[in-house]
Amino acid sequence: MTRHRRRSYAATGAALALALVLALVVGACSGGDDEPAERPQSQPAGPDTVSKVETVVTVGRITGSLPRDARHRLADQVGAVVDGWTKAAYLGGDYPRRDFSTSWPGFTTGARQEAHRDRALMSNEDIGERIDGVEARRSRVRIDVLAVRKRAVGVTARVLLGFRTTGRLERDIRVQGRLYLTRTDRGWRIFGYDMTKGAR
Amino acid sequence: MSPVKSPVMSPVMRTRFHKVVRLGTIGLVLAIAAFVVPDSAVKSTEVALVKVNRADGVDLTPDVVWILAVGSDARPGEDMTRTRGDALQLIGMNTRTGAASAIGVPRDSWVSIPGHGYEKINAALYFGGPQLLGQTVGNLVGIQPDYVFVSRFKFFQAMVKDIGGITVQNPVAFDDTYLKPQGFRKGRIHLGGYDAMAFSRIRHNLIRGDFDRSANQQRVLRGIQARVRARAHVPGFIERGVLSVMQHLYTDLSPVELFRLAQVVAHVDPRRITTCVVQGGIGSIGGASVVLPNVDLARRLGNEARNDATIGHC
Repeated sequence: MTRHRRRSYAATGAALALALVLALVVGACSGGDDEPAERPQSQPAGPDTVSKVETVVTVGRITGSLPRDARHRLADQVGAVVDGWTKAAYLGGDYPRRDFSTSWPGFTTGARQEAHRDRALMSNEDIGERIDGVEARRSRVRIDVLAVRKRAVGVTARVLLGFRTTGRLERDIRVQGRLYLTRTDRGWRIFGYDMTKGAR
Repeated sequence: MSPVKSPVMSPVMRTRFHKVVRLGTIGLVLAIAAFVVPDSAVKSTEVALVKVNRADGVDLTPDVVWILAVGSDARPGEDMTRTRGDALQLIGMNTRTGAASAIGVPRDSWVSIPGHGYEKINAALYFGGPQLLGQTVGNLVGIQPDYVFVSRFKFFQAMVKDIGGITVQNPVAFDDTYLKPQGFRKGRIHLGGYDAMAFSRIRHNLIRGDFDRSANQQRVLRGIQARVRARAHVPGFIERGVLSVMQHLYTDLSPVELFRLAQVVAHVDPRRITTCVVQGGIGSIGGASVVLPNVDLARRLGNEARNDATIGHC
């Protein structure tokens, strides 16, 4: 089952919030369905919005069993967490920008510390002072799910974010890779990542 | 055909263990299926490059996780947590650096088993299950494992088969009349599920017996890790691995914890893996051939690896 969720955000706007394993007995079912289910998401629009890009969240492989409505909810929830990060780290804020210390909402404490160490890649810290704007070009998230007893317990989110910078440094930048999430008392949280960032 | 994970509950480690218990399991079976992804040390400082930079990291507490992987010799119908461990590997993974180390312990090592006097170390599993075995190995090396995984060779076979087999670098040709009469040739060889199991178990035709066998087990671990690393990017691979392990594993860890540990295992960097086998002398006690482990060496290896899962030299 595949589900599309549309989400848009303002590239330089204000902060947007952010918003596994079953079949011990029966065994796993793994695969993807196609069930287009697009729902426009409300999004904040900053005063100097330069573009809108809708994040498309697709449910990929589900290992275990997960009801369709749960898949929809999961896509929304994980999409919101990923959006919260990409906005805080790359797309949001006022450029030129120096402070990226709040770039990782939705990360666990330890993962946030790791990301801070990798902040040149896990945010725009490396170029923030040389650009005056960011224009999102595309944002896609595909989630692979581990479900146990019809409940999602772990997610691998494959993220692709493309944006163009303006100012002294004009580049098309692509951020992509995997985020790992589990559900906590505070909702889905990113506890690990394997990301790349490149420019052209 | 079911590996078992069981926490070590020694008094000293109980508190720590309970914290860690929240964190994951799939480990060893997978860690034995240890895997990976690239290095987190490469970071971007200049975006005006066409070059793609990479960063990775996983949050797990403690930073260095220690797992005792046990290959049980249980026969069908036997409780593998109450038999004898044929393979003993104490494996550490550093979630910060991606480093990992394995300290092999000969199964015939003659050691003190708490509450049972001196015996072969693998008898600790028979006497007191995974917890006592973990404690006993921990006492020898000086590192108490956060987890103990016990697996049957049959599951191990299945797991290797599931990932498409592994490749190992075999330093010397050897065979075994019963397990592998045609033998394993020297060099880089591919092993399917059964062969990986046989490669890990054979010792009679190895020059240094139990010590060489332990080293072969570590070669198999490396091979599994390399294979898993190569497939970690495949959608659903980690999730299926977790589920597969859960289907064959007794554990009191939650699926969430298993998933997290699996991702940690997947982030071990094979270039940062170091392995050593606790050496010792051969003796005879009560008519039985035993290994008299070099306790000083075991402690030195433990001291070197304890905090960062890295061993300088064996």
